Amino acid sequence: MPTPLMRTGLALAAALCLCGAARADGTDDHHRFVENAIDGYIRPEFRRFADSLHVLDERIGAFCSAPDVAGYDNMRGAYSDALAGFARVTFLRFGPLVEDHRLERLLFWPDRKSIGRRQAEQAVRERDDSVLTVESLKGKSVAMQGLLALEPVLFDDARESLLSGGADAEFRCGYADAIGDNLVSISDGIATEWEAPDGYAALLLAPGPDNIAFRSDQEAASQVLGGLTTGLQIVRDQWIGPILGQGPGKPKPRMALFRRSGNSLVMIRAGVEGVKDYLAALEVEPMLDEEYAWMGSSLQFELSSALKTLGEMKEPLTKTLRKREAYDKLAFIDVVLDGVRDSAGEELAVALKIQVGFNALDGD
Amino acid sequence: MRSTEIDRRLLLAGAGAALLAGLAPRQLAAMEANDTLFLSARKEGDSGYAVVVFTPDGKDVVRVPLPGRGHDVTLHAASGRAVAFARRPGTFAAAFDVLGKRAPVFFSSPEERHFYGHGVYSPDGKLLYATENDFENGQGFIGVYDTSDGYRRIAEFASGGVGPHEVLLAPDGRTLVVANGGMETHPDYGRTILNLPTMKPTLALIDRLTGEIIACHDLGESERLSSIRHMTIDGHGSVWFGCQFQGGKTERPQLVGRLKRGDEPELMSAPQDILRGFNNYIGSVMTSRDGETIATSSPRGGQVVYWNAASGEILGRDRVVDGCGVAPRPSNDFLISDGAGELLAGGPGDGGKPAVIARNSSVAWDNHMVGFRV
Repeated sequence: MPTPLMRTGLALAAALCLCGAARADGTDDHHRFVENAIDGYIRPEFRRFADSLHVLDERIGAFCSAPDVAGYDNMRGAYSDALAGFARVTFLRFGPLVEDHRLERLLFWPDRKSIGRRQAEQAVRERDDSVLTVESLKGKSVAMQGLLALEPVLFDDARESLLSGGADAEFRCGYADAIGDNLVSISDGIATEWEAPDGYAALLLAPGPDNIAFRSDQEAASQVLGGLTTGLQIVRDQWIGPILGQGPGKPKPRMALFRRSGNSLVMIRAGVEGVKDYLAALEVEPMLDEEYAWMGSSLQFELSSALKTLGEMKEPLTKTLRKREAYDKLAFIDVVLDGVRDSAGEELAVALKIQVGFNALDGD
Repeated sequence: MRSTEIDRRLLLAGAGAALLAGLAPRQLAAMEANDTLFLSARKEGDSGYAVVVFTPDGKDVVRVPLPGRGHDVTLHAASGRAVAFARRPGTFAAAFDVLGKRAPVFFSSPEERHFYGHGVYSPDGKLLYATENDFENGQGFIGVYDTSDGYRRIAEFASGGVGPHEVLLAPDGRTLVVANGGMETHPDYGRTILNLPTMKPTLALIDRLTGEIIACHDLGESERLSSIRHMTIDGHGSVWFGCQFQGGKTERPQLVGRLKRGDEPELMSAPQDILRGFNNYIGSVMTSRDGETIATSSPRGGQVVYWNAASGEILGRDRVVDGCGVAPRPSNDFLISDGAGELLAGGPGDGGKPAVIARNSSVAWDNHMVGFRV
């Protein structure tokens, strides 16, 4: 029970915070901005992603113990959900996700030479025992360990074999089970580290001269804002750009991520939704001066318009993208995302007083 | 050392008279009033790019507009030839005369190659060596260009690694030193790193006459994520290099090292405070005019750190927000450029307080700067 004195103290602290919010350097705003990101998006989303991998792992087990069409479709659904979950967190490329090559072990992409698929197919073909346990799988190429490798092992052309049972199906199930366990272990680790009170979140929330990663709230806020621009850049450079190819009439839909399981648009959509929800969670409006007050809702509007157009697109892209209309839609989405990225990286950063210098932003 | 000399006496007498006759009054006045000029690429306004030659107090002498963002400029002092390269993955290069005596010549990397933003001339200025990416095969190359034939590409050889970045010429005039950053990229995926789990940066020594790789050093498995990018050669002939760490901020590895000819590369021992101040990123590495001081800049950390070239000790630090370009001044300290259009004078003797020399808020100085004597 708080005593009256404590209540006064809390009220006073709250009042002090309010005063502080008006300070010109935006320190308190920056702190709150970082808090919003962590509590409003990063922690719950990484936990949700881990949960989606638990479900996938269970459904792989359930299907493999009694293969039938319903079980297969359940597994396929869980795979799509896990990919969408990944797309919603992949842009948070700081802290736990980038430790120990976790990002690449979850999903090795871009994979220009289809290393992941070829190595996974080879392991299946040669019945390579070393992919059957998490421990030995961890010693293999990162491209064989995660979501990318699961596609040829379980989906793609594997459906008939898996449904018919037999030695090939048994091996695929063993490999998929090891990947599933590996994914669960990695994603649980990331979620738990983000949730820890003394982990990376504490570095973001308590900057200072002795903090190994962040010297000021502004630096921490800059890292957090970077998630937005990184997210849009990933969707454009890695998921959309390659399939747009050299222009209308020359799309390269075969380069689409997760094309063979029909999840290319799932990824792109979830990636844009993730960025949009992240932006909303940051709650930038109260931190913006009047002249910039329009920014938050304007960026939301742009992202909604990209999502609306995305909703009109259909798989498989290898067929649909042949039509000029569909190509133009994807090109339009690309342009919109580019505009949002520029605004978030420049104007929004200026408005939030966390602009990053020309050389620092994009050095070489 | 990239502080280099155009022979003033030669220029002012004999053959030089004819050259000087072709100079516009502005360039002539700049030459007479200054013994040092500087070169750098910059962004102008919202979307313009140029490479400029400018005086120590920041006044433009020559300005060459570029079709896109530039990176480093390399100079052949005796002839006044210079080339500004596109920033990766750009494909253009602009060859120009540092005193504006000839119209600039633009040339490109070949099909399925792009530049990395750096290059170096042969001692006689006849050949230009440029770092290039064979992106379909993920291999680094050195392209050789003939300066007397419109910068026609006449040869190439392997760079000794993936993602070659800066290339320098060793004091022997024959050995190229190449920083292979180790990171594979492909224009289909923008600047995305394609090989983070397997990247392996190297420092390669290459015989420029034969293309033979004489030595290929690395920093060991523990430093695999430290991409070696920029270098300078000190007054003792050692190569100093700066790295960009590709891991997270919870690690603060050593980023500055030195390679003595015939030895293995060694990393310096900067204290934690300096390492945090680098924020895992070195943007430029440069030797002072006397060859005894090394400057290493970090725009991401906002600091420039000075090292004793002989002992490897840290001599001082300046805080410069977004400072990246560093070039030697005659006083053995450095000119520093930043992304806010400022030029500052800094060095180990400034007590941590670099002096602002010029400010032009309509430009953003790009990563590198070169100084030369006239």
